[in-house]
Amino acid sequence: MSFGLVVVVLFAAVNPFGVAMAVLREQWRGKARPGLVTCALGAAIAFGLLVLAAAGAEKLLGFLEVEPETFRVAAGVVMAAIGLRVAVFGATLPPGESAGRPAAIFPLAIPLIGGPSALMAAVSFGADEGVGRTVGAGAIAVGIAFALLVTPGMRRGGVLDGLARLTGALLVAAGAGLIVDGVRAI
Amino acid sequence: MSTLLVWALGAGVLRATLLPAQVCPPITSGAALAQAQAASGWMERAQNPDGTYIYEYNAPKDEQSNAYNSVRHAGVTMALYQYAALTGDTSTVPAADRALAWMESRLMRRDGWAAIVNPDGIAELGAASLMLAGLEQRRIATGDEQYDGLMHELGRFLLLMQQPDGAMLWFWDPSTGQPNPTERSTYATGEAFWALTLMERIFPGEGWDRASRLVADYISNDRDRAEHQNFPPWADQWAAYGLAEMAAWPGQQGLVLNEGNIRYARSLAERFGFLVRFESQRRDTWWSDLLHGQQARGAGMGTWVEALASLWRLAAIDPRMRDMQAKIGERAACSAGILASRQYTAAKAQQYAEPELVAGAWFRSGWTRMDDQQHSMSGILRTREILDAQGRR
Repeated sequence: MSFGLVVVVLFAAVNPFGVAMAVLREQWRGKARPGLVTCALGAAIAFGLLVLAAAGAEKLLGFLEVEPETFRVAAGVVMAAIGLRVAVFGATLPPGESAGRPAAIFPLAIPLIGGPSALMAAVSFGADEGVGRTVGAGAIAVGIAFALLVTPGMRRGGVLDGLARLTGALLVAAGAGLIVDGVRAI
Repeated sequence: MSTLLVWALGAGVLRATLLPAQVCPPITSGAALAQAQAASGWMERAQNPDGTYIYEYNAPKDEQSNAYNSVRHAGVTMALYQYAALTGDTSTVPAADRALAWMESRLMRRDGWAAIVNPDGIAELGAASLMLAGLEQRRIATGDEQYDGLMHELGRFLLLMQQPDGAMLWFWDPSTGQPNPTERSTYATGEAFWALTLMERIFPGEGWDRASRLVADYISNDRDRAEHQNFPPWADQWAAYGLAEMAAWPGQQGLVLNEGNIRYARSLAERFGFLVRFESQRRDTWWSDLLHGQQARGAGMGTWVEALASLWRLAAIDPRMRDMQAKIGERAACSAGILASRQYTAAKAQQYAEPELVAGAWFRSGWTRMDDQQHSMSGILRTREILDAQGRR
């Protein structure tokens, strides 16, 4: 798989538009917007989790006694399911505070930026494509999510929501592709 | 906290459904030979005085079925000859010769060809093909040329059943005195293909290669679509046998298989590899049955091992498959290990009324069928060279 495609899939798995939209929704409900430092911390923690997932992929698969091709199918299923949820219902946050330093961990790092689809993709790509490429692609996706979180102009909910849902649809396609790839692999 | 609980639950569901551990019991080439000997022992003990075999046996109930068919009879007989050809141990030849005599007594000869005839007068391509393949294995094992004439007669029947595009018809119809022009068999095409490729190996220069190439191209490019396979490629281990045989034809200049054949061979490797991965996640528990379906029977899984062993051999010969060889070898060794772990041992057989009809066999839901032993033994035997190459002696 080309590096560009790895970037596209990880971008869809992280869904930076969804991240920004979920936070915006919380603001509409009267909650405070997370500050710059909180966002930076959240992005850094999420990126750290992606790095751990990619770097630990082979050890994890060895512990689970599962081949990379088989894990690819599971990753595809999770990504497709989450992508479908976002495409249909939009990006949302679980209940809880989204401002203040603790919000950097929950909910920003987990489950917003470093959600199940992103972590499953990181493990799968870490095993199949290599740690370096996966980390590089993850850095781009998380970097864009951080930028969208802190950009003052990101208040146009309609556009953000549409882009988030489209990215969700892209994630469904990416997940389906991984499933097919995993089934067709030796 | 609720998010983490949801994640934990999701991880548990994934582990139970899509990510259970893939278990590949270890196996060495020495153990594979011992298990093949046990399986061939079952086939010999299960042979009746008239040369037929016990078709199906239920161990807990100590009962046999009344079913029988000439295709599986020919297949089991072929496996006994194949054992001799692959190991150099010809002790299985006498039993196979008795079974051969049964088939010879049911031959119809006409216009220079010969075929086994069922009680209803129908002559099936599959039975003739596997009878021919068995004779070919016998010739390889013994060097005995006494059946060369019969081999040519059977080969001419295969040619009679071949269409101009390489497709093979399923059976010759006594009511018309012609091959039935509309019916095709999922299995018999591949069986005929392999038998034709072996004819070219044993009798080079007689034109068997042309017929082989026609079938190879039909199988590679058209069969799945023409025969309405819902999830192509059809998992055809006989096609894998045939392609590997073609690639190894003696005296050929350059690569024998064309791009379409290789593309198809690669898709076969992917299909069989997936089947093995999925099977390695199945356990003999009601929970696994519910989520992943029942474990494959010996006959089913044995064909996967046969196919992977053939494709490994092909990958060793043809550079266009070389990138797949290691993975194919892994899957072949895994599937051989799984098969070996499911074979009933002599010790386990003692708890049953007829231990001699249990030891060396593969059972599912209490039943074993003679081709469970055929395909499992063939697969395990042919994996030995892979295990040797992997240093698993």
